[in-house]
Amino acid sequence: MPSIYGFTMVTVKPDDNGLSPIAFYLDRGSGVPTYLQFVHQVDYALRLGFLREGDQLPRIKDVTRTLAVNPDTVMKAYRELELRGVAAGRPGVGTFITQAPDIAGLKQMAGLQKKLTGWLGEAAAAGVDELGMKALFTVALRDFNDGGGAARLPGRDARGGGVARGARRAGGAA
Amino acid sequence: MTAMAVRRMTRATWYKHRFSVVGIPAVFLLPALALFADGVVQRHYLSVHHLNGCLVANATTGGSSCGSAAWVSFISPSSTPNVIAVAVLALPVLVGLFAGVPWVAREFESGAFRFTWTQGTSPQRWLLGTFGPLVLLAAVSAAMYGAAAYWWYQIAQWQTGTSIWSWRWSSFELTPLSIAGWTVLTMALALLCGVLIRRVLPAMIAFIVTLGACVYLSQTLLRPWLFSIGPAVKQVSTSAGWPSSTTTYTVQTWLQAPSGQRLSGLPAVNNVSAWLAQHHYTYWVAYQPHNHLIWLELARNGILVTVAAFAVLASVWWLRIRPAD
Amino acid sequence: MNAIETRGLGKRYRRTWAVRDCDLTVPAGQVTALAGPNGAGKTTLLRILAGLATPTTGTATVLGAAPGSPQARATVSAMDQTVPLYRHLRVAGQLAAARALNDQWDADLAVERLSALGMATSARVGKLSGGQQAQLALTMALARRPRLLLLDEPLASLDPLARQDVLGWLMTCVAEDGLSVVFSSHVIAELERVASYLVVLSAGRIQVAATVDGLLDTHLALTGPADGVDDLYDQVEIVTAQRAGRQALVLARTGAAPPGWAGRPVTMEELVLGYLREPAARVAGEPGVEIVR
Repeated sequence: MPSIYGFTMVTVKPDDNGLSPIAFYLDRGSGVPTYLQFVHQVDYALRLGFLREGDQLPRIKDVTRTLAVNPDTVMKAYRELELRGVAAGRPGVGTFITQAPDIAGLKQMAGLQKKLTGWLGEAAAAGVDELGMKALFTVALRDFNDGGGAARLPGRDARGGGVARGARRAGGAA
Repeated sequence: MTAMAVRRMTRATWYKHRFSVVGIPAVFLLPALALFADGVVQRHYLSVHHLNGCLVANATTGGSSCGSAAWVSFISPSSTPNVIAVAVLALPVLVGLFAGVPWVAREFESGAFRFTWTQGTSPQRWLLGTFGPLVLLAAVSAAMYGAAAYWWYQIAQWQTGTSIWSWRWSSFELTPLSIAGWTVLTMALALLCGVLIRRVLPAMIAFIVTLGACVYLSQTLLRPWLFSIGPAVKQVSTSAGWPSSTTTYTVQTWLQAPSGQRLSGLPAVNNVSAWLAQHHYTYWVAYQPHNHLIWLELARNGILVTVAAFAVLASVWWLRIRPAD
Repeated sequence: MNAIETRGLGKRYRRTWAVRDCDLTVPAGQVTALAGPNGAGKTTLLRILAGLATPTTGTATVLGAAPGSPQARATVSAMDQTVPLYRHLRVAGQLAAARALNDQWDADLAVERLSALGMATSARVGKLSGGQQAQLALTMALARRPRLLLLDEPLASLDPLARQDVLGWLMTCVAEDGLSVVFSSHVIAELERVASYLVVLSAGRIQVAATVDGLLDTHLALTGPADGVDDLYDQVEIVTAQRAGRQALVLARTGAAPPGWAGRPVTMEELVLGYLREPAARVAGEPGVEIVR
């Protein structure tokens, strides 16, 4: 169901009759390529425990029907997940989570979130609004990636690269 | 085309053009019934008044030599039969105009061709498969209509006030063969105009013009030319031996000298017949006897159908080289 | 086999060329977006491929067969911009007529889809709304079980919800049956999620004909100082540059932003509009080929 924010909201009754614990959504205004959005959504779901080992990812035809995206995009996302070792496809059945990525424990996650909330409070006190907070975070994240922090970030693909896909494939053929 | 394809095309025709499929037989058969009814009424009148013996054409006058009062009132001249004869012949024109022309022209004008010709059937196949059965239907209906008209005209021709002559245009045209032949031609010409012009109203105008030209050519050129082919030749005298004026068609008469030379005109003498007898000139007549009539009808209508076939082929060909635009 | 192959395709109406020098090779299994301004020749190109117009020059094949040939008719479905239907029939009659005109016809698909849309089969086609007529035409095109679908602005008369639904249905057909789709649309943003191949037509000529992935990977939207644009021409291949006061927005064919410029990935809309602004710029075949000016 489209809403005014450009998100496609998940309906209460899952369209695929509950085959997959998650359903993908699209953030049209973000500028992030669709397939990467799906990869990130799987990543998030894994981190937050919505997806576990052995769970089935949404079937391509269900995703195409609800979100109206090219099936190649979904396939690309699933291929990316396969390359990362997160999922594996079973021909004729679907794509399944093979292993949860090596992530920080839930307690560590809680601690990190607390620190983040503290920082947000500081920023708010300094008079920075939400947009400013987002900008600060985006710049910091980019600098962290570009400044060699990429190697330290878990789960990044071996080819490295930044936010722009073009940067990753400088001048190469498609 | 396979039987299955023919069945499917027929169904497609029904869905798209059911009005024509029902209308065409109706439009022919209802007037046929009317003509038949009138014929029945007239024949009843004749049998009630014992006038059937009067229906014999006099060889010299062309009319009947009957004298009874009932007969005289029966044959009092009226222009109605000729008017009806023309109306009878106008019906195939109307059918072609309102059923034939819009067949393709409307398909183009309404844009429906962009649907019809992106399905599993090519335009040519669609045309032949849908229009073909329609022409057949029209031809069969027209033949029945023509038979009724012929039957009606057998009696009605006595009421026109002119002599009976089986080679007159109305006798020639009001037959099953002729009416069916004209119907096939009008449908084919209507189709061609629709395919060439692709807009209903201009195509209708073109149709009227071309059909008018065909009618004119048939009357003034084709029939006289056909009638002059293969006549019987007979020697006659000034007063006797002439072929019947009610059942034969005179092509040519001439005077021939014993030497075989033909006289181009009559000599300018006082007593022509005496002079001719003195010089032993003989009268000759080239004419079409009654038993040639059926062959000439077949020939003339065969030509109409052939022209129609060419028109249909031209339509199919034109449709192939320019399917749209 | 390629879904579409054209070589030197051209079509002239009276004096003007609607389509000219079109060389196109679209692989099978792609969803191709045909974009371009009004009068660019999209409709003409689609009509030629559907067999509704004969080209003046050049050749075209659809799934290896000539348009309008029996093989093409069996595997290619088309829906014209004018949504042609038999408007005097009822929906049931229209479906029956379509069934009679086709060898392969999936009646179940048609009935299922129309009942899912809530379209009564007793309704008169001419009385349906524009959107319903489009849905009917699309349903019939797909009931023919084609391998290639040519759609000329199929979403034009549909409301946003219906557009989403139709696109979703089409994409599912692509996923399940390997259907190739070509469709033209004015709403480029919608094409972005759906298209895997992009063809941009401008004034009858092909400006862009390449895979979407390839295009998005090799183009960047650069922002930077307006007075730096002239220098930028020597550093990267610029498709189009727009100056707004002190800032400039540049669409460039490059992998990385040069120093002094910020780069971000382009959206398909920006790509299409950028090329349309520069009629001389072309991308032929896969990126990796020079931009021809």
